[in-house]
Amino acid sequence: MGRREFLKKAIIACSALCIAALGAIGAFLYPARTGRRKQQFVYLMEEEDLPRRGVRMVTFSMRSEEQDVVKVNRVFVVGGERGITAFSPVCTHLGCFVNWDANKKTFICPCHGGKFNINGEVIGGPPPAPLKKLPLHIENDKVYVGGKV
Amino acid sequence: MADLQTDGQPKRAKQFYPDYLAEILFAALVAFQLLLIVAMLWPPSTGRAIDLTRQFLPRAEWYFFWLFEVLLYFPGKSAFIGAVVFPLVYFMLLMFIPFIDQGRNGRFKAKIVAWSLLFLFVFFTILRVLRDTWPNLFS
Amino acid sequence: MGKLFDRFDARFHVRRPHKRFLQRRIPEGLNYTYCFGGLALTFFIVLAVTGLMLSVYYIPSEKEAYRSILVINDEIFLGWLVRSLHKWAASFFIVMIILHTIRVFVTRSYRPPRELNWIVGCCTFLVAMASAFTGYLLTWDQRAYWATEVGTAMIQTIPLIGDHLMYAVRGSAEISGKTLIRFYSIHVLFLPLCMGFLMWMHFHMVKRQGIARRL
Repeated sequence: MGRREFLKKAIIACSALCIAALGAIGAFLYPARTGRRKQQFVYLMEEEDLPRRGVRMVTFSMRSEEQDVVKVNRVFVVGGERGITAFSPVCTHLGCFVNWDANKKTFICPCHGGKFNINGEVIGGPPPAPLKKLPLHIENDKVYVGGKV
Repeated sequence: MADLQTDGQPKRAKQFYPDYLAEILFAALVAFQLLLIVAMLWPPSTGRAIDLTRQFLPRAEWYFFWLFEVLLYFPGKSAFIGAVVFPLVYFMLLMFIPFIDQGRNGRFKAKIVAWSLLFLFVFFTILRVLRDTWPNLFS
Repeated sequence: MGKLFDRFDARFHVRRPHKRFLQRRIPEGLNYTYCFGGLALTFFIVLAVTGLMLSVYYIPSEKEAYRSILVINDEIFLGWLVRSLHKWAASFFIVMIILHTIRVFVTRSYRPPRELNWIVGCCTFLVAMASAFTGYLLTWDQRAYWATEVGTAMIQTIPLIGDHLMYAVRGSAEISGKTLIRFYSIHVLFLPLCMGFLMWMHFHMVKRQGIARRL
């Protein structure tokens, strides 16, 4: 193998190494998935406080074990003909939290004006999907809401 | 010679040092003073600590207003166009202006592209400011 | 220049190569709109200096970030001014980049051989915007949280890979301490390095190609 030949091969090998390194860097920077996020039920409110008809915003706190911080969050509990439902306040458009407008009977997203009716369905604005329902679980007169940690 | 003045004395060509450098430094100094005055008069406030239970109206910095405003016009699944395609195309057009300005009507085409890019930026920024100031203006 | 500089120059050899640069001729008819680029650099220097100062006191952690901002603002001597300068310089920087771009377009200075410099300038603008976006989260208050929530959720709208990309940008599914440290690293290390390199290219090309003549 001549010098020129060797140099050619060396350059090819170096380029391949660089590409591999770039892949490794990408994989390194991609955050580790800490297993599947588990559904966890946390205490929300007493059963007797559930709204028969209408919407109530309830706050609850959740402990994120991995990061050792308590996160306070909120959820909309809706009572109606279809029974009790809990809606996540996260607007399905770009993640702002919606607010309940009692006069207009709509959830309104302050960011881009997305509107949802009392059943969480989109009635106006840019959101692509209805509000997400969160699982509720009632045990011993206490209501628990499911969230992922 | 263009460098000859009317009285026939050859004029020294303008050099970077010291002529141009002095001008630039003067402008930089004035600009810094201006910045200092503005910074002293209007220091940024410290916001509230993060609290997800509290209502909050998100607001970007002014140079992102236009993107924030554009998002309004792409409902449902088309949000992708407003959020990613639009800024990407915008930036690509800006970058390729030297290549648009080619051929016979090159400058004309480049002018149309450049001024419409600037117009989009200013137009959507103003729209956003109006919407923020009078929330019920467009509804 | 003085003896001291001669000794210095004997080692570094900066005088000769820069003489041509310093004494190069400047075309006639330049007005003060040609200063916008230089002013952008001025504000970038202010940003770099105040940013270095702030980084000494700022703590990029979920629990302490907000508190450290309060400390900078209220307890550190002139902390409020440094923070204010950093914030305002960012705005001024972007204004100057926009004005500079307009000036370059109007004087048609982007034509070959300067088209590559126009592209580098565009990249500088992009890095500046990215810096502004990542820096906005660091105050870790309500405003920062929600602006970043919307900003990063935009990435999620990309079909197929959107979710993964957003996860990569945020470092976790929601905005959390991991997002904060990620953005901090990008804001104070990655982007300034990119910016430095881009600016070096920009100025190097200006130096080699000269200032375009006015039309």
